[in-house]
Amino acid sequence: MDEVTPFQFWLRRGTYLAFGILLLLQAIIPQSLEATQIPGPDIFYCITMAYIIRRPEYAPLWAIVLIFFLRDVVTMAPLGLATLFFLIATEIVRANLQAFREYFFGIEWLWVAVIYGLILVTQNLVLSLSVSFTPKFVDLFYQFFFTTLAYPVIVLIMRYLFAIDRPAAGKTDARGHRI
Amino acid sequence: MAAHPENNAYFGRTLRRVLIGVLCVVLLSLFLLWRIDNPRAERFRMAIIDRFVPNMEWVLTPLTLVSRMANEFQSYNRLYSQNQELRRELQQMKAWREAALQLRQKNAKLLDLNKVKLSPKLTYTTGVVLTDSGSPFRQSALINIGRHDGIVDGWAVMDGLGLVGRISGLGLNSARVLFVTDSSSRIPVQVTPSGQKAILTGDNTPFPTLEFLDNIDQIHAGDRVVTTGDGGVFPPDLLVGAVILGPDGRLRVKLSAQYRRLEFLRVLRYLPNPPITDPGSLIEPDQPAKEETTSNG
Repeated sequence: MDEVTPFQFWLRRGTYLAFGILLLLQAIIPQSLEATQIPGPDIFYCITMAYIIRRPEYAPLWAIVLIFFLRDVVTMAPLGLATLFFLIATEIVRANLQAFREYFFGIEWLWVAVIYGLILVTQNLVLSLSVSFTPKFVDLFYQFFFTTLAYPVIVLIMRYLFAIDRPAAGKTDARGHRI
Repeated sequence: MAAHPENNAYFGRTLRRVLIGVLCVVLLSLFLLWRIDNPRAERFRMAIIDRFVPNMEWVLTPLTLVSRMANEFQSYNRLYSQNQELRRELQQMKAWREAALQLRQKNAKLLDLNKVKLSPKLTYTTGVVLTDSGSPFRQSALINIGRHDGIVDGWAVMDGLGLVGRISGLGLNSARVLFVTDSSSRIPVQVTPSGQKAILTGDNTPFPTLEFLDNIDQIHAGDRVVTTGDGGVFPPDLLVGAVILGPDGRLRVKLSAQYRRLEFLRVLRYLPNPPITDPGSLIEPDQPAKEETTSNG
């Protein structure tokens, strides 16, 4: 199962990038330009976290930075700020991968939510310290809440539709390293 | 290389750490640049968007179409009642059409008597909405005309009826329209029957608020709100909407523009007269140096 050819390897990386680009396009489609939308879940954050905890090799650093930065550019967000925090968050998770692997799902879910909350709070703090526009607290709370709700759904979808799951204990890759 | 796998892995990890550090510094300085020199950073953003988004039209158009169809499918349920409603409205419209025709004839006669020349300055260019802002915290859209078509930053944007926003951010082939509902939008307006001036302040809700009103007592719900020409950015007397009293007790504006179905937007070409700053020199050129010499001599 873990014997992947280079083609398969790049196909799976491509899947991650394709997720990102599709979600970006979905966000900027002009469906309704009224100002009443409630912020939805940050699905790409959920996908990124699920990838990193399960298959970090398919969600490389450059892809994360690229997609989150493009999102900053397209959605008129402060340039680079959200990208910076998502980069730091994903690297922290990547560095503590073994611990995250050993948690059962409830704790993993909790951590993903806590990290997202911290990202939102820090980002808002930096924005208000630099006296720029900060979104309303209620909207941020909605975003946090829906993102937390969405995470297990996305993990399930990724496991059963895209067969992306944690490797079994003790599995090694083609070169004999532990995954 | 293969002889020292441990060394190699160590080197890779160090390189990775350096890379992450560099990336963090780059992103942080980009944010600082955005905060300190905002216009330059926004131009940079617009350049990136201008480079990619118009080229993505072949993907965006079918996606937009599909999502519109899905949205409209829900409205088929109400088709019959809608039809009835439209018929009723059509009846009323016929009466209005008659009234409008009579008024037009009357107006034509009066204009003829008055020999008024209508301003040829307000022409417009129409653009198609490419994308929206993609985030519930920002109210804007990207349209497919830009500097190439002679668009200038700050020009007013309308749908067929009312003011939608203004151009804020220009690319070669695209331009960003900042809606009046965005929380950074401030527009000088006038409430018509009483002639009171106010600032239309967006707050990310569909109904922007009226602020800095002189006398609230003179304002009634239903009063028309139009732009003033103050500040020289917008042409005067563009319809914005009607005053309503919000549930929070603040005066708000129900916009005439139909944000739900924005597809085509009109960008008004507006070049205000250059301000006359030096009134004396036109009529009487003053030559103080000469006068002094004559009085001395």
